[in-house]
Amino acid sequence: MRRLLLLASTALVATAACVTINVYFPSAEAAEAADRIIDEVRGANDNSEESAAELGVPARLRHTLAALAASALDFVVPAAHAQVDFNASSPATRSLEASLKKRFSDLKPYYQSGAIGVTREATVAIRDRNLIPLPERSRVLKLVADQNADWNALYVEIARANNHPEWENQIRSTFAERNVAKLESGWWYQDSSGGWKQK
Amino acid sequence: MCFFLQLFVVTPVSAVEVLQLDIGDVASADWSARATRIELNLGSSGAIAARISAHEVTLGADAESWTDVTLSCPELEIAAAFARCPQLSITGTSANLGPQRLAGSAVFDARDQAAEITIEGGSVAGSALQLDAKLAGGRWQSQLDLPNIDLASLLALAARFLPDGEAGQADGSMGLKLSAEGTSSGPLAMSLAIDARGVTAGNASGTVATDAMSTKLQLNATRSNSAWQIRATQSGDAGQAYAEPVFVDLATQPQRAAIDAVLDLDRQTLEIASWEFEQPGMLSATGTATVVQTDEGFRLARLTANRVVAQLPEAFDTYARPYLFSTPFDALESAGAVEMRLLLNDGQPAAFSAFLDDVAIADKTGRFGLSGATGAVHWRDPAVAALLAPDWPGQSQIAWTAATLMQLPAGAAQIAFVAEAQDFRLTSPLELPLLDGELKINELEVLRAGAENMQLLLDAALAPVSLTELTTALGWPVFAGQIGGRLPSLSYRDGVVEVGGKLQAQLFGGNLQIGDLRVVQPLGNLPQLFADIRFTDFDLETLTETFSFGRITGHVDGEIAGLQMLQWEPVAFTASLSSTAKDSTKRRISQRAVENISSVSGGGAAAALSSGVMGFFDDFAYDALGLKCQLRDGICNMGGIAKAKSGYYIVRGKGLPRIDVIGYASQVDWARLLEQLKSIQESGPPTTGPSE
Repeated sequence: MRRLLLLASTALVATAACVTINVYFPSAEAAEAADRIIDEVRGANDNSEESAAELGVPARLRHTLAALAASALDFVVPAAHAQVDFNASSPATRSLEASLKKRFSDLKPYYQSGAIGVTREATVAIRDRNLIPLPERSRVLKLVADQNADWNALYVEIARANNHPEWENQIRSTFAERNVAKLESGWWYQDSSGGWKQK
Repeated sequence: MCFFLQLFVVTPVSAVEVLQLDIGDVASADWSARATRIELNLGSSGAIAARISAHEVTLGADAESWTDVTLSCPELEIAAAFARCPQLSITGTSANLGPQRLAGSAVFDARDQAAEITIEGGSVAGSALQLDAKLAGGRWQSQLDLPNIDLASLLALAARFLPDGEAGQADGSMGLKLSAEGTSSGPLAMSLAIDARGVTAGNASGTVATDAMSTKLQLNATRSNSAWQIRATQSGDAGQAYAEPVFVDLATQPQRAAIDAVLDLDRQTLEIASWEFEQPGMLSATGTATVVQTDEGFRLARLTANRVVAQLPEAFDTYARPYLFSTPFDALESAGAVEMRLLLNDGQPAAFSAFLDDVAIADKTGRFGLSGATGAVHWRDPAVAALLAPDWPGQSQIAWTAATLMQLPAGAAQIAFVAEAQDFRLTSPLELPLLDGELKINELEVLRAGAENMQLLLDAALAPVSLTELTTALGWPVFAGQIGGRLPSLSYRDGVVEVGGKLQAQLFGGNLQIGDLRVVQPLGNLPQLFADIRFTDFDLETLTETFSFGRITGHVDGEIAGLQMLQWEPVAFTASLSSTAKDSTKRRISQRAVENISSVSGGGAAAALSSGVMGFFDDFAYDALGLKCQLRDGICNMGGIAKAKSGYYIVRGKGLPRIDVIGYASQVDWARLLEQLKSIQESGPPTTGPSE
């Protein structure tokens, strides 16, 4: 029995000595920030769309849970705590959001016609050129390219502003997911295999 | 043709009234027929009614098969060396074309080896056909006319022979006339005329498409031995066309093209001795080309454009702008005319020249622009050009009458440079008059432009420029004095411009030092600038001289640390300014300056100053002045030279009458602060109270 206790405490000490710090990606906050930015860009009225807060666990509870988890983590590994504020706007994100919003109104008719859709990389892509009148085709190419340059810059900037440049891909995935969730009915999106689907 | 030859092989026998031959299956290399039957009805009038039928006829390796084929000739006249069928009819069902009913006539004369067949009717992709074939004196001639082909049906037909999804869509109609002549050794001449109307077509992916386009093609070709001499003209004058990313509205910009070429079947080359392309009012081009057929298909081995004349802005907007989307050049406006020469080798540019004639280009956002530009730009890939165009000029030179650089008006200048492959080098210093000064670029060299390891070297100096003009031109608060300096080694890499060392400038009688200067994406959508700025010994008198802020004497030191600009607007910095410590100049501040400082910093001293006893004094002595502003998120966190009981000292007075300016606003909206500064400049000297 004594030997067993010794073994158990040795194991505990050994475990404590090899704490692996997993930096926690705050998915709920990211989803909320994505919703806010997507609404801002699309100039959306909230009532027609589901927001992250309405999905399953209410946001407040998520916040509390996240805070609890963070403080628990703080207690164990203080260094793992990260100051995260996806909604903190920097001049760069504000400027990007403004230009995304401005260009979105130009792109909207093409979302509606099904000529363009949202991709699984949280960008915009041309789905069917044949739905775009010839004189407008090259202009849509430009709008899409410019819009994507801004979206890509925004994901980098949000990650950078939170001091976690490595989160870019997770932020992108979050936006991709929220893009689809908040898509208007009839608009197109790419599923996880890259195929186009109509909402 | 084969059918008829076959028909005459069966010679009728006069003693029998009806001759019926069941031949069964017949096959040759080019065709085969199943259940073939020949019936000859020898009527009393001397004419023979002939009928050939087959259940199935297949032509050319399964490419085309017909079922229930009947070829009949109710009045076949046959003489010793002569046969005539004035009422030939052919019926059957083509697997590809559907049921067909054709009528015509045929004549054969063995004496001079002459034959003529005429067939009309049928239905090929919605169009009736007319075929005329003649054989005389060893030469044959044929004409095929399909006046009204329905393109949707034609494409449906073509889809049977193309892999899935490659046929695309089409709508519209087309007339086709094909005539050919030759001998038994092959064709000698042919001509093809196509008149397509209302063509709405496109490939499946939509990268190439037309809308209600009308186009005409005329092609004439003659053969000698293995070479075809080809002349073709094409024109389009209605509808629209798109070939990603270029869109052309043919109704407003009709086009015409022509080629004169030799197709050598032995050498498998198409040598285009001349090609022409013209869109009146926009573009005209002539040149030569060589196309080679390889196992992978046709390859443009060489192309020269000897004379391309582009009218601006039409040609730029249509042909160049779509390729410049999302580059710094997609907002260019252009005017004038450019003549160009181009040499392509294996599809790759080998040499290019542009001769500018009073050309103007301007970026819509004012980042850069040139007007009255005249001269020549030459570029070449030295490895290729040395062989193909050894005398291609190497030195480029352009002169212009006016320019714009970063919103600033610049004057007439000329630039001389060498551009080869991906490298660019200035061959003599560029002296660009900028406002009342001059920007001198002593050295500029770009190596491997566009490559990841691109290198840029710049050595430049600015001969003093009036700050009043500079700040006015930039729409900034107006400052007096001059700025000049030297830009040490500037480098560009990964979209970031960095200045190695410190940028030194002389300004307001003092020195300005800009360190850690970095510009991210200077020509992109979101240019960002980072810098740390320090200045020493700025003469306030010079600074406030032409600036209606009010006169202040004395010197100041200061810094703008952590400056961050986005789209050339400051978004963050920590700035401070304070009287130079060891400064022996008189420190005086005018009443107007006091008023303005207090109005900007939220104080209400103005009224008190102009109405009270203080109103009698023009200016006041001061001990020190200073201001701090930490800009974050559009808000300036303010501070002064020292804390006051409440608030902070901006100006601390000295002697009598003593005046202190104390700021109370700890936070000031940056945009409003700029507005206030601007309104002070615009308001001019105050109308009440003593003037300075």
